[in-house]
Amino acid sequence: MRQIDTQVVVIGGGATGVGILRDLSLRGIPALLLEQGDLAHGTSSRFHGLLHSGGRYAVKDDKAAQECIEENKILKHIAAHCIEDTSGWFVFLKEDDPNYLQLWIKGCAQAGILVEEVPVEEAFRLEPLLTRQATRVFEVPDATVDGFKLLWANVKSAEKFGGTFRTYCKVQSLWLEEGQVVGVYAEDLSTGEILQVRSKIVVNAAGPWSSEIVAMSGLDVHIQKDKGALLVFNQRMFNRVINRLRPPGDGDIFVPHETVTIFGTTSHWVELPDDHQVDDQDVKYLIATGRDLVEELDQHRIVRAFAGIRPLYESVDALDHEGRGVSRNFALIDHEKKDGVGGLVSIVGGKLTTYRLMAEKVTDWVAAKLKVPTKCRTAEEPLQNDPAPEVWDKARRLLGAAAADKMLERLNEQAGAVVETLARQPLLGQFVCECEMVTQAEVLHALQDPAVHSLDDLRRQTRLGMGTCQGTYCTYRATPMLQEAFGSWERTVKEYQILLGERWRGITPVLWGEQLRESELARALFLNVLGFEAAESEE
Amino acid sequence: MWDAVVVGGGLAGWIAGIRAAQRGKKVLLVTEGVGTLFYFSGIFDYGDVERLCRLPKHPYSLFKAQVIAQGKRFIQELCPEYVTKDVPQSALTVLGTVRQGDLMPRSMVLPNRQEQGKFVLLVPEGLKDFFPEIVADNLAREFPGWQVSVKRIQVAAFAEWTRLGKGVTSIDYASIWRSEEGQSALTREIEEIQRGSQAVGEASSKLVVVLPSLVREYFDSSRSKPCKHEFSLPVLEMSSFVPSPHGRYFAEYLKHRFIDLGGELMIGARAVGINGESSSESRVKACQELVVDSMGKSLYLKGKEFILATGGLLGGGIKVGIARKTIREGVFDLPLFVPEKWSEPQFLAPQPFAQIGVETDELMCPLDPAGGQVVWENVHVVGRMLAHWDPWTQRCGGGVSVTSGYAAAELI
Amino acid sequence: MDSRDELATRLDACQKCSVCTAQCPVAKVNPNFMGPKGLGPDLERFRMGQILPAETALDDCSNCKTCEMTCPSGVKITAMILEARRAANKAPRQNTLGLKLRLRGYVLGRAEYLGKLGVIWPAMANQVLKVKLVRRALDEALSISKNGPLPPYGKPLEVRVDKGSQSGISAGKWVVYFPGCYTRYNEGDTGRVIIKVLEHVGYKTIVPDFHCCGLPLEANGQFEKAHKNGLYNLELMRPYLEAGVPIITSCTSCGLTLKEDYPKLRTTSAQLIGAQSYDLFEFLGQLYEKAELPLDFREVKAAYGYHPPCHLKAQGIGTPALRILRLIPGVKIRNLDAGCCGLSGSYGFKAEKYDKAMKIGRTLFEAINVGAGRGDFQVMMTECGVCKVQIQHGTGLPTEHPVCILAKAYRLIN
Repeated sequence: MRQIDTQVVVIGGGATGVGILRDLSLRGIPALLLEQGDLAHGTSSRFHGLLHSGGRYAVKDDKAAQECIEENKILKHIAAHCIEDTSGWFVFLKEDDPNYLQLWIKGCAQAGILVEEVPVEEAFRLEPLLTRQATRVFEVPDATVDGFKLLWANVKSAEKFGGTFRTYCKVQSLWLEEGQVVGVYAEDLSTGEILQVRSKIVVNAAGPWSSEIVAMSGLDVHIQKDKGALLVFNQRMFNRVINRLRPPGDGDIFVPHETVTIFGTTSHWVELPDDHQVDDQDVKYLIATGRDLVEELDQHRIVRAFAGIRPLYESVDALDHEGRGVSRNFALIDHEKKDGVGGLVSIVGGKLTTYRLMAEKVTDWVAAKLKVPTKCRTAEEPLQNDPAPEVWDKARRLLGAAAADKMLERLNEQAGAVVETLARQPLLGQFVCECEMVTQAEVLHALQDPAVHSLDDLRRQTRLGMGTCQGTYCTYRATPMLQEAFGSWERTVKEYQILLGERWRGITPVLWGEQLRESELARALFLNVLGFEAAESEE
Repeated sequence: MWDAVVVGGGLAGWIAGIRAAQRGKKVLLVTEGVGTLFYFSGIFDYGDVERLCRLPKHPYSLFKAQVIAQGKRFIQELCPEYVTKDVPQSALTVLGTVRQGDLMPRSMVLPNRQEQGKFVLLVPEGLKDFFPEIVADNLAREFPGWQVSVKRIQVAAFAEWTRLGKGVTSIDYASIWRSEEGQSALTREIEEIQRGSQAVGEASSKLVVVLPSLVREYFDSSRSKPCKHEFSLPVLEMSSFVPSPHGRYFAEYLKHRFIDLGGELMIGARAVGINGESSSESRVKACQELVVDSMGKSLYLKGKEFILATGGLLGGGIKVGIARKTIREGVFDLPLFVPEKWSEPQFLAPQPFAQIGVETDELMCPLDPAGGQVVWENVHVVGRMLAHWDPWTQRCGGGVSVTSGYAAAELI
Repeated sequence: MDSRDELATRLDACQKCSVCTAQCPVAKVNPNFMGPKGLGPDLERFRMGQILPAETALDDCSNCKTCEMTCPSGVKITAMILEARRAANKAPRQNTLGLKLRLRGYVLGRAEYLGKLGVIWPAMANQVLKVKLVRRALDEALSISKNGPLPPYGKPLEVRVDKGSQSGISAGKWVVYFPGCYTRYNEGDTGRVIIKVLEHVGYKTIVPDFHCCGLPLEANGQFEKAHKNGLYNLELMRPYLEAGVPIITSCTSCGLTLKEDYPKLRTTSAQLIGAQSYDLFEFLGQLYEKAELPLDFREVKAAYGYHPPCHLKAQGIGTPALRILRLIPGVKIRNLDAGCCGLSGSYGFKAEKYDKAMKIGRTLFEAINVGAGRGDFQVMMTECGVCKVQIQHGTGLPTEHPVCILAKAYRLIN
């Protein structure tokens, strides 16, 4: 067993958790973040990718809308490289409710969201796939955000200021002494080692797992697990976020994300915090609704489907110890006040767009408790520095304009090291993943990161296998690097199977059309060309 | 008017076209692209024929035993380097693991494990999608007691590629080995290896050279200068990653055999429908014309008989629409067998959707699964378009395609 | 110009099988070329997000269409690359060709005007173009290879617009002939033979004063002029198209352009051109099917090797010349089908591409030499003027247009 001493333990490597880690580190408070899987294992990698302007909340909840637009502006400043400032449209269709339209315009103005109407003919010219049933189109400052990039940028920044984090480290129990929380016990899942971490404060930022964490000490925080399914289309169908201008419901947002489009979402309550199975019903429903915004939806290839769990927090009696005054959309639960158990605070609810604000509130609370006077700087301090123009130029010379641009978008600050490797060993400029233009050099660089434990982790870091072919070819091309990193042929074959299994789970809900063809090709490749053994069928 | 119009240029289609042309028929082969031939490993898998024959409605059950043997012989006549035995033979995959196959080039057949020897793995510089360390490791594991050494080789032709940091595909290397420059380079290398082993007192009779990307088969003496086939040491070929040189040269070879026999090839044209009518006596329809989309216009191709070889799901012959609401065979609109269940959660398990296809009688004419009657009397369905089989988990892709193509051609 | 929808649908069909790149003649000889998959469907997904490659990367595509013919999924790869070139041409950062190459594009794209100049005094023009100093100067100034087989000029094909035909056209016995710049300015004799053959089979020929079909302009980045030419040519054809008169091409590249690009132009007769445009032998083949083709052949005892041009294959009509010529007693034809000749329009004439073009043609040259060596044939045959020039350059074998054999069989020429 290993013993670690720190001031704050943050449980959960989602957006909220890493935001807290960074804020604590910037204020000089030693902290350790523990995440049971890879970063963004939970909701933060399974959402729309939308950086809200707040337009969706303008009518129902103007405070939330205001929070969104303020954070939207801040994030565009501090996390520019994780965000694509695509802007967004709210599209009003012939059949939609004109009353809601009026309320929406008023609500946006009240919340401070800049709205500009786009002439419909111009809209059709700019976005040819938009339904011709649209009668009015309004532009808002929506943007798209890469959840994984954002989280990684936060932890990298935190590390610069002394913060530490461990992935694949699952908290097994809260450590109590005289009824007060003094730390946690966690298991390092890759080695089996037990960690005993002593802390002054434990922050529960475990998202859908928040109830499970506090239940370890017999406490109760009721998190409603709300599953939402999303579809990934093969192309960038729109260059802007497209929202339906109606009361927020299912299947009314298309979000361009790099080379694909994410469309969703649905909503129903589930029991388990990691119920990520996509229901066939949801898929059918999404397709039917999607046709409202894209008449030719049937012609477009869907590469996979995925689902995320929204951890909703609805408190019946909003007492002040739940910090409701802080925001109507997230709550900070001081367990000393609520349950008489000190040393533990939970942060629940919220959305990714406001993660930084949530982190600020929690850190303010922690800093006050620990009597650290330093103020929050996370709204001003950029997460990363842009790479120097020389790095861009060199990358373009070595890789060609398109591949270089993509790589620098992905790696940002880290790009310099990879470009140097490429200059020394040009053969490493060959692509491992041709769909997303990921070079061998980039993969090797990612494998050096101690937090990368598997091919799946690599996928999130580099976008390997996230493109059209969904890992059919790049899995093979990554083989020598895998074998080098993980040591044995048996392990390599296992990694193949895990990654292919993961991709298959996402493809089976949408197994038709071109993705079905691709799957048959993948079967031919693995079972015939590479000679893998057929698995037993489950009957 | 053609005697036979073959729709689809995959393995089954080409075999059918070549055999029909060989029999003196006037044949037209229409294809949109090159099909999956470029993924050919070089090895024809027949699988456990006896067991598969007994599976309900498996394509093998349509053929008499001798047709399967005739199909094999046909391949061997086309490609004299191919050998077959009563028991499966072994060959190397691109990863250096061992896989079985039935009909394969002599040069791919692995030596007997029991005879201890030494492999010299020749690694062409910059060869793409090939991992020498992994292959050497796997080879050593599959052949316990054998030595495995790795030797890198270069050819002047690709010096510029290496300098620029670009990989060279296996197909590009294959073409060099089929040229004078490549053959001289190889001869030199192999002699050097031989000299080297003699110098240390090894028995060179134990040496087996392994060269990925080498393809010595499918040689066309009417279009290519003579190619050296033998070296002073045995040289083993192995499968490549895709697109593969075996596939590429085999596809080219089939095309040339076909046109040299007088067949006409219409490439870049997609078959979209047919015009047919009922014959008077029976109520079975006979197809008259194939409708094809060529550039800018439709063509109407008249034929006495038609062979549907459009490749199933992968080939595009069967299209499954969004949410599986429509499942259609794209040329004749044939009724299809569609399995109840669609997919299995385990990716590498037998997938039910793979069984989709057209059911036929012993003359390979399409049947309506509902009533069991023949739908078209002059149409034969071959290859992946047939229902009730899975080439990948049953390991019989080559066998069913070759046999069905050959059998259909015999019926023209 | 392709609509985003059409390209987009086909993009979704790409399975990333890479067979297009495996067959690409340019990728085989040029290590810097990303290949059709890379520049086409791969890059298209990025181009939609405004990530573009440099023009120079795209310029290496020879537009041969082998990738489209190979693709098992029907992806319009070459069209995507052309779209990318159009976009890169306009984007300031990707606009990397440089003044000299842009000037060259301007010149080579306007082969039509060079033709008009050359036929004023063909003998003189040909002599000048043979002078080594002149070729070196062109190489220096415009990067036009000093070694390339620039085709000589000859007596041009005359324009024939029968005033009477305008009013008395019935779909029956007239055809419009689109000769293309090569036939018109470099090989007018072949054009005249074609007119004789058409007359023999019962059709009077109209040869309007067409502009260049536009393909060399597009291939050299002159998109606006290509577009203008297309509209102009279609307008000339309009009365004939509306009267149901077939448009005949004898050059397979012009034929492809008329069938593929012209239907996409925004003008009324664009809808008609696709179905009414025929390669010469395709047209004769239709007559044969209807039993309207005269079969009064004399024996022609001759053996030929045949090279199907890439742009003929791209038309998706098979090899109609062979269908007809094999009806002639005594004629023996070996269809070599041995890949791209390498010249690809103006591609192989460019200084930095000449060597690569010759390398591309190597497989074909070898097949020709082996065949000739075996005594199978001593003359080659192909529909495309540029392929013809390249074959003669690469093997020395004389090469004819297939119509010449037919003309011999009809006793129209010796």
